[in-house]
Amino acid sequence: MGYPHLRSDIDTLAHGGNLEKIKREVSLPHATTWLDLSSAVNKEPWPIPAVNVDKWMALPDLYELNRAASSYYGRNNSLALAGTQQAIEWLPVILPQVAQHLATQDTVIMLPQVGYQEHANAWDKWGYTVCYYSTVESLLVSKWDIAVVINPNNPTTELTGLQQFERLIERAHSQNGYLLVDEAFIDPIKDQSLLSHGIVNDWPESLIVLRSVGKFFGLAGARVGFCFASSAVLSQLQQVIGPWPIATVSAYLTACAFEDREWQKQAIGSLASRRSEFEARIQPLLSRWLVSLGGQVSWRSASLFFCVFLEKAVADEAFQLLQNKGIHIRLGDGWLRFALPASQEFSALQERVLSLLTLSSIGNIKVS
Amino acid sequence: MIFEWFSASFFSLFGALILDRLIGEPKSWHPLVWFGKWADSSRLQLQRSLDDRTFDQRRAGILAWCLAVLPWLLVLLVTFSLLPVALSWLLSTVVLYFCIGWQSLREHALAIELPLLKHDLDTARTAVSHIVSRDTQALTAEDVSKAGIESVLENGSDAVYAPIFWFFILGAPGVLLYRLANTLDAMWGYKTSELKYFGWFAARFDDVLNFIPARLVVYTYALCGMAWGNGSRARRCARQQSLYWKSPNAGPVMAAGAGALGVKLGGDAVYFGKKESRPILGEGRDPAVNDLTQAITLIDRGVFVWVILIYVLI
Repeated sequence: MGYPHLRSDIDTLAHGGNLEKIKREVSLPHATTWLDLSSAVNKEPWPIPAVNVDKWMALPDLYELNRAASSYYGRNNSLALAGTQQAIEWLPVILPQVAQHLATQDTVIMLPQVGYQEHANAWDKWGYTVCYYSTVESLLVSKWDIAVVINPNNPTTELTGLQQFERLIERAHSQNGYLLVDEAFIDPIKDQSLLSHGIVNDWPESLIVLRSVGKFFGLAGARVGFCFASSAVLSQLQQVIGPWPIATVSAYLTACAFEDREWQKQAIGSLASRRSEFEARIQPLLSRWLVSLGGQVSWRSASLFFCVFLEKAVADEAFQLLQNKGIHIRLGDGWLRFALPASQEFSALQERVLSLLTLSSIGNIKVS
Repeated sequence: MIFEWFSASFFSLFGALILDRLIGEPKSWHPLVWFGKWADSSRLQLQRSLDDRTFDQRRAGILAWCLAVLPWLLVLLVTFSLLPVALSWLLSTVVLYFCIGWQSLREHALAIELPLLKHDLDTARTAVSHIVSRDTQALTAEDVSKAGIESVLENGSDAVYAPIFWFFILGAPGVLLYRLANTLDAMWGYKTSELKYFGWFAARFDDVLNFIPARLVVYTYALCGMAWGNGSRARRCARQQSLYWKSPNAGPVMAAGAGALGVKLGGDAVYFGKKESRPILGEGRDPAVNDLTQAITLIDRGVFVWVILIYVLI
């Protein structure tokens, strides 16, 4: 049988942004509305204008989108996709087409131990053996064919430096392999992106970079993402995704968002001030409450989310209790991830965490 | 008959206080934790949408309060009617024991003061965070002590004197009623958008139940403050300073306590990222670390005074 070969025994993964499902399962008092912090997208999104209904009748033409994208990203060796998920799905199929030596069972795929799980799933379902690394440094000494680095990592928020990437690209090249860098959360710290860096002026054959539109612009529902790679990889990718990966309306709105530099500047400021507000108002309360449930907590934060690492049993319990208060977040294996709330959500969030704290310290002594 | 009731009550009080001092408050399996869950489900069933008329929202709050509290009162009353007299005395003692937190309050205060005396500010901040709902990370040793004293004085009324008062007025059902109402106030009695109308009754009912006990506590603190020569000061502070305090009962209680100790409490405090300016309560110097001990001594003396007075009166 040819390789890769699609397995049929792989389950789909759980994600944030599944509030509708949770609403069907958890009932809340009638006065409580859900606070959805489960998906780490900007909760103060780019303001979406009304769209001419004719756009729904026309087949998509991606010229304007690609033009706006090359101006926003500063590069044009890219392909617009139905979210970077589409690249994540297809790379395991097309890379062995581009580089025949990867079409064997011995191909080593390196993924971060804690990181966005769709990467692992995508390789796993095509029958590849997936290996995990604990630190990006270890990739400089281990042997691999394809390595995935998520920068900054979700949920650990670990940021890999550009010098490190130079060495990783070199190593990928010397091993005849590929370095796949997922920059889904990098937009607010654009200068850290590989796309803004001199090493990509002459695009390395072994480098693939994914950029997501949904996170920073808060347009997750538009399903638009970009893959930056060599022409060999891009042409194969174009072959498999066909002519119309993106809906006309999504393409139009994304192009407008790319051109709205004023909003982008303001959004970066808003993210920074909301991050400080979370640190001052929410994080200490949550810490205190989580500690009262048991064990130690350790916090990490990125531009769009906060993540707290704790004992798995405590994380599971806390997730349930937060749901009972109408706060929906992302539960992982021993971590909880909170999307950075919108400005108007802070008060409700604080009130609800305070009420959890009151409930956990219930007794004859009142918290005054 | 009445005399017998009072003397039985006195022995229950004595027994409950001894039990409390010896074993303190159960932490992991406190019956109130179960009550909290019960009350939460009552809210889930009955709270109305915020778009409903405020009258309907308030009525839903009253119904939920009744659903949360009345079944337990009924169970207690039925149990009493079934028990022989000797055992009902025992049950009264146990109920009262579960409803007072004298020893627990002492332990909370000690957990703050001992680390402060050893200059271990971090541990003291964590300890004080268990009894005040504010940002404790940036507090100085004096701030920690002040926040601790405020909470001890306020809790002295809620966790010690008011339960004893209602126990003597209405027996074990009275103290149970007080404890459950006080807990519902802590859960629902907030002016947040979600609870403003639904929690209105819980907040008002707790205010009513605390009205007389809080005034008695003012006199108790004033009487005990005489030992430091601050008796009249305590009464003056309670009368003059508590008008602008956000809670009608906690204000006079804390002002009297501060006056009795001869220290200044209240003032600005940071509640999780938001600075709140509060009136000054009390007179004299700023509180020092060992004033926490004085606050506990004040509570203790008050309890002794109440026990002696009750014994003499009946």
